[in-house]
Amino acid sequence: MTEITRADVDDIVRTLLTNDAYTVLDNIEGEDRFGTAPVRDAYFALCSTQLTGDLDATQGFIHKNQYPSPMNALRTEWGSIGNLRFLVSSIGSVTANSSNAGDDVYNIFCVGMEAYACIEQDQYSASFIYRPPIYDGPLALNASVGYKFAEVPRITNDLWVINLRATRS
Amino acid sequence: MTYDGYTIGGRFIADGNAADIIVRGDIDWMTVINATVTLAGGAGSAVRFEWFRGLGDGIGIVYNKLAADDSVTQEITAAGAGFTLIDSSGPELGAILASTQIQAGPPPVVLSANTGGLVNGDIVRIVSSTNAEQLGGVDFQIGAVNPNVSFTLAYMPAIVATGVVAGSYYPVRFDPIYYPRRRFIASITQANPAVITTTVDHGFTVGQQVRLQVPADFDMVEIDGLTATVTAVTANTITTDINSAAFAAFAWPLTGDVPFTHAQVLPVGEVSGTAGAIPLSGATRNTGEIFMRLAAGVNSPAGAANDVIYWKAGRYFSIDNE
Repeated sequence: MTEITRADVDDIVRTLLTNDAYTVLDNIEGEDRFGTAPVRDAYFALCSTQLTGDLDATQGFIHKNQYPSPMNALRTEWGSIGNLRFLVSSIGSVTANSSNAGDDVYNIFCVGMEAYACIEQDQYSASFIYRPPIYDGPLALNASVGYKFAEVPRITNDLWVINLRATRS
Repeated sequence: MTYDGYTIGGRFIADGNAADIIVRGDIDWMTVINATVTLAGGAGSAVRFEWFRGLGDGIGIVYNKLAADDSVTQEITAAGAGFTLIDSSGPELGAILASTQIQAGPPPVVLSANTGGLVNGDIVRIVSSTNAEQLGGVDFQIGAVNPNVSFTLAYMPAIVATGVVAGSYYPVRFDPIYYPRRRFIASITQANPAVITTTVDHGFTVGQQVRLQVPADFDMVEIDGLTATVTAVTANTITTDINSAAFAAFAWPLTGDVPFTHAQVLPVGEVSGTAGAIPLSGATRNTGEIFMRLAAGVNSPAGAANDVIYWKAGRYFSIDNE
């Protein structure tokens, strides 16, 4: 079995703690609300939306709508397991056909506080530029969009970044 | 920003091999002129080539110079003798191929009745190889290609593989686009300094720092988690500043040990060789690119050795391919 398990999560958390990584988010205290559970202080786990079903099925998973105060959940957050809070993205990392059986392997990047940083250059990070038709030609027929960015993402301490690789069911 | 797309161009001296023309963005057309053939008097070979979006991979329109009056005729190139537009940030794997056996080696030999056009130096990803599952999911650079018969896993030590080992493999068309890349470990010496052999050419440079991930299944547990500075390299080996002489021997797990995590070299940074210098050799960067591959030969756009080749390419503001 190479889908994510609670034991995998515990191993990741244990390793990050041993490597002296700080958690990114504080705990969410329990409240007297039916069906909710307190949430531990947590590291971030960044992964693909393809893994949501497997996260739901993992022992100890708390969906964000079961948080005592769901407004504390991030928009991209799916839920938490132990001391990991999972943020999902449709462009989450996947390595195609790279399991022993030839299945896709999903990279779940588990990070502590300040494990990585974005270094901005030239006084700006990124710009998304939209020019409406009236500015793009005398007949106002066409709009244009583009982007430019000048920033460099770097890992500041690789001991605070762990790649948990898992297939999906 | 422009309405009219863009036009780019350039020139190169042919070396007799296929030429990859890196373009700054996607393109819709390309024209190649072989100046050497054009300037030569009398009948000759192909002088001009054109490609338009919508043509199939590997072909193009060719203008052949036929007679002493420099007249030309127009036709389609032979398959594989024209243009192929490639985006290296696209799907990294080719179509899956079947293998019938992996012999122990060294280096291990993969038998396959259809090698799908692989050549020496290409990379394959082994999957689902019964009785050699320890190789599953790993990328290997290949050598000694005997088309539609066999190839070797060039950098691998001997493996334990018993009986017929049917399986599959994918051709890996492109490296992962972000450099430096993590690589799988084929072997590590018990020596001072320790030398690591990777399963494919690694691309690391002297001064970079790597962290070694060597799970207990590979026996050399003492080296697991250590950070090493790269002190010397060949295409597929890394000399480190680690003394592994007293470590346990590095050994690949057996097929029955699956699943396990593979031994890997993970790039983590770099050290500066000069005080005050800004080290950039290990900077993480996106190496994805779009390029046009020109086939080589007297009837192809990359021409023959020493031909002077001019090219121009561009993108339409609007295109309507019905």
